[in-house]
Formats: sequence, structure tokens, C-alpha cells
Amino acid sequence: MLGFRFQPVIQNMSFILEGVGVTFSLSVLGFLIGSFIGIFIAFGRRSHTPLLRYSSSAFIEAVRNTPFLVHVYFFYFALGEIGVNIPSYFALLIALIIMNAGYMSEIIRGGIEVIKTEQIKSAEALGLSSFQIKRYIIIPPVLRVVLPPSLNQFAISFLSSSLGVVIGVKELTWRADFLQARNFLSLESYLVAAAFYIIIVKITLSTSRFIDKKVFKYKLTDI
Amino acid sequence: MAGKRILELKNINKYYDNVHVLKDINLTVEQGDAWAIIGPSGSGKSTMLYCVNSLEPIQSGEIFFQGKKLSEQNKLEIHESIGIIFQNYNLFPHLTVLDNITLAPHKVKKIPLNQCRKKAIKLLEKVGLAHKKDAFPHELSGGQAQRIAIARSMAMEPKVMLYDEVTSALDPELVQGVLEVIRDLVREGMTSIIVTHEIAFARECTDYCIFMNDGKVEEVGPTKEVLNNPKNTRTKEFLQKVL
Amino acid sequence: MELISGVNLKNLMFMLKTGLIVTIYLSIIAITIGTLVGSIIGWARTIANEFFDSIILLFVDIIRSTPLIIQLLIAYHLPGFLGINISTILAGSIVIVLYFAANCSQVVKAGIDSVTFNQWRAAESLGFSYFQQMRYIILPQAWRAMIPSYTGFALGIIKDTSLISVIGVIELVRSGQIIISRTLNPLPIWFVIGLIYFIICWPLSKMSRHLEKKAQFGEK
Repeated sequence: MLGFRFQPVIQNMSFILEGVGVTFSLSVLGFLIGSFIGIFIAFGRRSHTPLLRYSSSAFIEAVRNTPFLVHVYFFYFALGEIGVNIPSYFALLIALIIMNAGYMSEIIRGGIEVIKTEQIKSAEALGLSSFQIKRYIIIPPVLRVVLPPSLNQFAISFLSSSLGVVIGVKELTWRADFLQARNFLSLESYLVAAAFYIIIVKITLSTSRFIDKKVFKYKLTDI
Repeated sequence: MAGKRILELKNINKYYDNVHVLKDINLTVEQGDAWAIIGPSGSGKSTMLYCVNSLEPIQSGEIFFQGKKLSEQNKLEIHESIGIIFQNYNLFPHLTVLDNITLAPHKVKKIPLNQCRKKAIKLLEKVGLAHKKDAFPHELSGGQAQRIAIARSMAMEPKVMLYDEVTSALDPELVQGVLEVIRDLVREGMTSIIVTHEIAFARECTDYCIFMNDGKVEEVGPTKEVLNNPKNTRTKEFLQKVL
Repeated sequence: MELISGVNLKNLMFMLKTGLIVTIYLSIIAITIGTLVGSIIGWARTIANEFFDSIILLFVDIIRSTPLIIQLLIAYHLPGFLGINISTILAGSIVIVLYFAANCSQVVKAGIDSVTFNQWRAAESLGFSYFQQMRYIILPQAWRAMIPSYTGFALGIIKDTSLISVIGVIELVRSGQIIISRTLNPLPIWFVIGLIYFIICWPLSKMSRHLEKKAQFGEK
């Protein structure tokens, strides 16, 4: 139909699916490790020590005000010059980790600021154990504030991994590009790849909406 | 009471999705009369007000304002002639008190701004809040905001004023201030329909009273009769609970 | 005068004149046209019936959920496929504008939706027409809700223009790559490229945070 020929693309589906796997590994690792580092940066940003505060802010601003593409090129090409030869996969991974760290630190900081000492004190006064306080008083409001933007950031990270194509990381976009160069079926290859991205992103965002509706039914108010 | 018929509701029926919220409502209001509408929550009191003001559509029946039937065409005329005050005042948060009051007369009735401003200040003096003219709504107390809302509606020089439980959301000590303003307007002859829980106020201020329950008018008559000698059992039950 | 190998005035001027100019040009086009188109779409979604709304939402979702680089790659090949002869930069610009417009439409719809229904009701009860309601009561409140997301997306699109380098358009990143191909010295050039982006973006992000704060003061 319409002169589209999807058949050759379907034949290479295993090739494409391998790319989906690579994309997944990059985004998940990048997101998780980046979030982990982001926790420290979030605390650094709130620290009373000026050095920690300024260096955390500097890191965040540097990450947020430069294009991700430049990060990717930088870690692949620029570091290669000083003798640090990183394989393309890891260059992209490092770029993803750093980007996630930069953005997740602000999201996590928002979560930290939701914790109110008065509520913890009331809970202590009521005799709740440290574990109970964490489970019932601290974690629910924090998750409510942190989860939606985090899922959003994961979706962004997932989409950003597509930049691997410029440095030869064999992720989904690279594979679509590779196929189209071979079969001259540009549109079909890219559209199939796009479909995968769209599906995953939609699932991520729907999950976020679902969690918001079902789990967090209450509104955070100042009590 | 002698006076021309300013508002008539004939066999009004309204549905929200499939729920029958107004059942065969009939009402005749004469100019200068003050009506109280009492009844339990969910009885359709507010809905009826919104229908009078053309904010909500009706599925069957007719509403007449000054003898003319309500329709899509004369919606604007209705809005200019009938004012409504909501339970949560709904002031425009991005405008000062003065701008809140002058915006509608200036933009809808095309009255020159300085005239609107003069009128607004007079109204503010009347409700005792002239000193707040440059304040923003979030700086006001509930009672002050409600009085400003009344001034805002009065700026359009309406012929009828509708009040939808305007004191229900207020702290008790702020309620009297608002009721005083309504009382003054009623005494000056403003045709008013007041949905309220303040039975004492209804008794003191209004000429006629309706008891609504489950979308129906259960009892209607002069206020003193309805409140002191209710004939309908449900009216009696309600008043017993409330008084 | 040469600071580090490759970073001399001549190369710098090349990057700025040939590269940065295009980046700025693309950003301005994307933001102006994209905001206009996006606002219309976002507003249309607030008055559309369910059917049209879901169709518009479908397109918007697809554009926002597909990596920009794939959209650019498609834009590179699509004209040939359709037999249309347009320049790469035009094709790429259209993609970037649509991408920004899609994000903008979400911001606008969310902003308008954030104004409580009570405000609409109060405005209607005072006799305002639909357009008067939008102009004097709804939009002044809506735009305050739009600012944080809008400025975030605007900042993002300035950085995203860098992706058009992948399909061969010479902007800041590409101009840097051209110099690197001559000097074979990537590190300082990539650093300079990042620095130039930073110099443009950081003040804008500070300004947007300032705007956010200002918009909140005096609000209910």
C-alpha cells in the first residue's frame, strides 16, 4: 500500500529487536546509575558547605545548558584525544548517566524538600518506629512528588539514546539507519523504529498517569 | 405583593447525564420580592439558580425574564440583568479589587473606564471596603472577598440578584458582615433569590420561602408561614434538624 | 593568537559566523512559528469535541514520542521519496518547528485547563463573550501556569537544533566538526562548542526562573 514495502524490514526484525535491547540497556542503566549519582548531587546542592553547593550547581547547570549531542561527541571523540579511548557504547552510556544525574538531581531535590520535620516529630511522638515513619510518613509523599517526573525523565532518556547512531552505537536508531542504507527503504525502517520508541514512551507515560490516579489519590496539602 | 412579574419558571426539568436533578419546578417572582430557598444538600437549589441565570441548560420547561423567554439569543441580556454570587466568590485572582469590579461594566457594557471606577468606589464604600480597592483577592478574608463579589455583580446594575449559599464557606464571625450587605440590598428593593442555610436570616429578610428536596419544590409560601408552620412533613423534618 | 591548538580567532569566528548564526536562526524560527502553531493547536484542543481532540492528540503524541533524530532522518529522505525537491535545511526546519509546536500545544492546553471552571462560570455570569473570557480572565491566569514548561521547552529546542547537524546542515556543532577535521584536535573544540551553548542557554534559563518567580507573586 502507498508504495511502502515493510516486508524487508520485517525480515530483519531480529536485527531490529537486538537494537531495542541495546537501547533498553542503555536507557535503564543510564537512568538508574544517573539517578543514584543524582541523589548525591541533590544533597550536595542543599549542603551548607559552599564548595559542595557551588560544584553541584555548576554540574547541574553545565548539563542542562548544553546539548546532549555535544555530550555524546565529547565523551567519544574528545576524551579519545587524551588517550582515554572509550568504546562508543560506553561513551553514550556515560553521557546518559551524566544527563540523568543532572536532571534527576533536581527531581530528587524536590522530593527531599517535601519531607517535613514536623510530620516526623508528630510521628515519633505517636510512638511510630523509625521503619514505620519511613514507610508511612516519609516515602508516600516523596514518591508522589518524585515518581511522575522520574518516569518522564526515563522517557526522555530512552528517546535520547537514539543519538547513539551518530557514534556508531548499535542501538535501535542505528539499526534502522543501517537497514535503510542497505535496502534503500528509509521510510519503512525509520517508521518501524519510531513505532518501538512510541510504544515504550506511551507505556511509560501511561504507567505514570495510572500510578497517579490509582495510588496517589490524595492531594498534598499543607496540614 | 403588588409588583410586576420579573421572573417565571414553568415546569422546569433538568437532567445531569441521566440524573433527574430538577423536577417540574414552578416559580413566580415579582419585582422587589426577596425569596429564600432552603433544603438539604443535593436538592437542586444551586442548580435551579444556575438555570435562572442561563449558566446551565434546561431540558424542558420555560423560563421568562421580564416577560421574555430565555433562549440562546438573549443570554447576554440575562447576564447583564441578573447577577449571581457564588459560594466561593470566584474573584479574578490576577486583578485588583477595583479592576475586578470595573472589568465587566467597562468591557461588556462599554461604559468609559473612569465612570466605572467612580461607580466601583461608591459600591466599595457601600460594602465598607473602599480601603481595599488596590488589594488582590488573595489578600482578602473570605467575608471581604464575598462582599467584593457582591459589589462586582452590583456594578452591572442587575435587576435580580441570585445568592448561592454565599456564607456557607465562611468562618462564622465573617458571616454577619456579608448578610448585612444582602439585607441592605433587599431593603433597597433588589429582587433577590437567596439559597441559604441561615434560617434566622431568611426569616428576617425574605418575603417568600421555598423548601426544596430531591429536585422538587416541597413547600412554598410566605417565609413566616413556611418557617413557623410548615405543612409538609419533610419541611418539618428538615427544619427540626437545622434549628 | 592561539590559546590551545585549534582554538584561534580565525576558527572561532568561523564557528560563530557560519555555525552559531544558523543555530540562532533555527531557534528563532522554531520558537516563533512553533509557538504560534502550537498555541492554536493547544487552544483548539480545549474547544474541540472528543473525536477531533483525540485525532489531534494522536499526532501530537507521535511527534513527541519519536526521537527528534529519527524525525530529522525521515525529513532528510522523505522529499526524495515523494519526489519533492526541497533543501535539507528547509526539511529539517519544518521538523523542528513541528516538534516544538507539538510540545507547545501540550503546554497551552494544560495551561488553559489549569484555570478552574469556576472562573469561566464567574466570567460568563458577568456577561463576557467567549473571547472576552479568554482575553481578560482565562489567558492572564493560564499563561502563568504555562511559563515553567514553556521556557523549558524553548531552552530545549535551542539545544535540539544541534541534531540537524546529523543530516548535514551546518550549524554550531557541524561548524565545529569541520574545524576538527582540519586540526584533528577534538577536545578543545568540543569544549568551546559546549561553552558557546552554555553562554547562550544559561542566561535564558536564569531569566526563565526569574519569570517563574515573578509570575507566582500576587497569585491566589
